[in-house]
Order: sequence, then C-alpha cells, then structure tokens
Amino acid sequence: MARFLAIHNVSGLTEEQFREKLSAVSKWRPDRRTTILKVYGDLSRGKLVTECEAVEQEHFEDWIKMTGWPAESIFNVDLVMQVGNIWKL
Amino acid sequence: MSAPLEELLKMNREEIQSHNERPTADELRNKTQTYYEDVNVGDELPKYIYSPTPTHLFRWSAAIENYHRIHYDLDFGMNHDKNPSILVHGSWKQSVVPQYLKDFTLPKGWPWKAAFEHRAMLVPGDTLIVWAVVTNKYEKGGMGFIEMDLGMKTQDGVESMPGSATVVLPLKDGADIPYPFVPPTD
Amino acid sequence: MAQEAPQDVESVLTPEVKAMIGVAGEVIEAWGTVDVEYLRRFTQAVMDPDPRYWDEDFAKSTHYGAIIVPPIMISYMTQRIRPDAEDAITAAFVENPMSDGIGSVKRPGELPEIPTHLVRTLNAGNEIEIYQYPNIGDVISFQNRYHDIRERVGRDGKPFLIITREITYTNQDKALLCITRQSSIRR
Repeated sequence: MARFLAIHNVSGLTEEQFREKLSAVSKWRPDRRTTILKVYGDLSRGKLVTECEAVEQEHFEDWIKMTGWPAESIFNVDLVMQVGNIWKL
Repeated sequence: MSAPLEELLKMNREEIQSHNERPTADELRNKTQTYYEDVNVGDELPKYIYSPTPTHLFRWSAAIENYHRIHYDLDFGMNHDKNPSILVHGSWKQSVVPQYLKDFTLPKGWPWKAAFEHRAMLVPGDTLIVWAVVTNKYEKGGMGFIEMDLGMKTQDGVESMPGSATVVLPLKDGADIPYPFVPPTD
Repeated sequence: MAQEAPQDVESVLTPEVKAMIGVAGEVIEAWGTVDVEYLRRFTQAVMDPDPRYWDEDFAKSTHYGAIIVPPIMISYMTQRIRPDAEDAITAAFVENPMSDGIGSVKRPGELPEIPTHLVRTLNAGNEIEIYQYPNIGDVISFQNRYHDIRERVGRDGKPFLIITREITYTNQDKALLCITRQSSIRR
C-alpha cells in the first residue's frame, strides 16, 4: 500500500456538500484497496487537501473522479510525523 | 417477522438501525420457546444491528484485556499496520455469535456449535447486520437440530464473517434438552 | 483448491508435521475465578442484557438453576497476564519501541512450533462448541492441542498447510464447558 496527498481546488464547496460527499464509510473507503484517511478543507478559499492510502495512485484517482473534486496535484508521502510519532511509509 | 436481509441492504444506515431486533432484558426474561416444529428451512432469524464506535472498541479491549494497538491507537493502526482506521475486533464478532444463538434457543434450547471465518475489516462508522438463515433441520435422539448459515454484513453488503451453526430445539411433545448438553450418539 | 499435493510437487505434510496431530500442551489453570465483575464488564461490552447473567432470583428459576456465564467469556481468561509474571506490556515496548502492544509474550500451555519452513500465517476460521455454561466461582482450566493438520494446493500450484488448534475448557470438577478451534493457513 502507498500513501498519497492531493491538493484540490473546489471553488464554492459548501460544508453541507463536504459532509454529504464524506459521510458514509463507503464514501471514504470505496473499496478494499483505497482509504481516504483525511480531508482538510479551507472552504472559504475553495481548497482541499486529501490524504489517501491506496494500492496504487490510479485507485486514488478513481476516488477523485467519483467525488468530482479535481486534483491540482498529487504527491507520494514517504514520511509522516503524527503527534510526535514518526512513521516511514 | 424479521425484515428480509435483501431488503435491509437496500436501506440507509438509519433505516437499517430502526430494524434492530436485539432483545431487551425483559424480552429475554419473558422469551417463549421456539420449538423444532416452528422452524422451517429458509426461515430468516432476527437481525441484530450494531454501530460500533471507538468507545465500544475500547470497552471490548478492556473487558477481555486485549492490548493490541490496532483496536484503539488510530495513529499506529493507520501508519504502522496500514489499516483504514482502528478495527473492530474479530474476538468481539465471534462473541456475538454464541449470544445470538443463545437468544434464539432460549429458554430451554441449546446453542451447540458454530464455525465462521473472519474476512473484511470493519471500522467505526460501519453498520453491522448479524443474520442467519435456516438451511436444514432433523430430529435425533428425541431432540430437534437446526442448521443455519450466518454472518455479519455491513450496510454495503460486505460479508465480514461467513459462517454456519447448529442449535438444538426441543420437540413440542418431547423431553427437555439435557443440560449439560450431550449430543446424541449415532 | 486441490486436496493433497500432486506427485510432482513436494509435500509439506511431512512425517514430522503429521506427527504433531494430537500433540497437546499442559493443562493450565487460568488466573483467578469466574467473577461477577468480569461477567458484568464482558456482557456489557458484548451488549447482551440477559438477566440470566445478573438477576440471581430469576436465574435460579431458569432451566440452569443459577447465574450463567457466556462460555466464550472464559476463553479470554487464558490471555490474562498473571500478577507473578513480568509486566508484559512494558516488556513488549522495551523489546520493540514500535510494539503492537502484545509483543512476543509466551503464554503458558502453548504448543510446540510446527516443524515447517512455511512462515506466512493467515487466519482460516474459528469454531466453538458449547456444552455447559460456566458459573460464578468456577476455576477454569484449559488445554491446547493440535486437532488437525491438512495439506492443500493453492491456485499457484504451491502446497500449504491448514493447521487447526483446539482449546478445551473445563471447570474445577473437570466438567467440559466448551471447545474452541482456530484454523490457520501456513504458506
């Protein structure tokens, strides 16, 4: 499994729409290969950052297409610091 | 009459939860006996619905003294084990099964045996449906044996615990099921 | 999935592996007794409100004559860290700062390893058979045994083992309470 980060431009996205797109488990875990771990939103500026664990980038891109939140860029994630723990992915 | 599993799987989470048939303490206290003759092949048993949260998982870990981090430490689970979230315990799932069979056979039947596999990972946010369907019935040694397929499906129809079970029900004009239970010999 | 390995594939069900079928560990007495507090915490955690677990007068009036205990509950008594043993959690993190919380703690009554070169282990299923409800005050003993070992051939043509371990649980009167089995694939 690999970890990816994407930056999205979604101008005009409301909180209600954000919640609707992510509320059920199947919306953030569309299949066994793909989990959307986090989505950060600055809705006033229409910016989203998404963190995804997937077998390959193509599976993440499938989810991106499904949500209709186009990604401006997608990165690989090799290292994470979370609450003082450092993980090499 | 239990809502068919097929129908439940078409519903949203809230609708599924409204079909929960887990009995209350009073219902278990006053439960009337289901007899062998009352059951038919193809019958669906009641549906038990669960919506586990991280706190439910923590309570289970504490109750059975299971310190595996994948069940309570989200950081570890996601970044070390690459799990989608903290995970519902296989041990909890398998502990629900004997309860489910006990409830069906009360007050004087016997929840004899079950077998199951652990498949899909389950996470907080999933709505879980425990189900069973009668597949066979036979009399032996003056007792009624009911065989069933069972499992625990998510709201999306993913089967996380395919299994089977055999329970024992008294015959309407039969003797009590012996306790402790002794299976009849051939 | 085929049965045993065909003739041109080397079998992994060697005589040494086959000889492990039926091998049993020591009979171990679990720490503590079956008590009302563990029963309360367990039945609340599994979300079973049955008054047979907590209403003594009602339980006495039932077929079972006393407060009953879910048999599977006693199976978790085997993993208790004994107070006379090393603190297993602290030891796990000393051994490995990235420990999964369980570590490599040896539990009493464990079975000897299967003498096979196959190292990858996958859970293949569980079983439970119930014969009698435990009661409050029971002292539980358990014994591990290799119940069965079989060979199968995967879709890739490689043989693997299905190993079934069995644990038998009895009370202080040596009455059989329940049996659990756990099968694993070793490939």
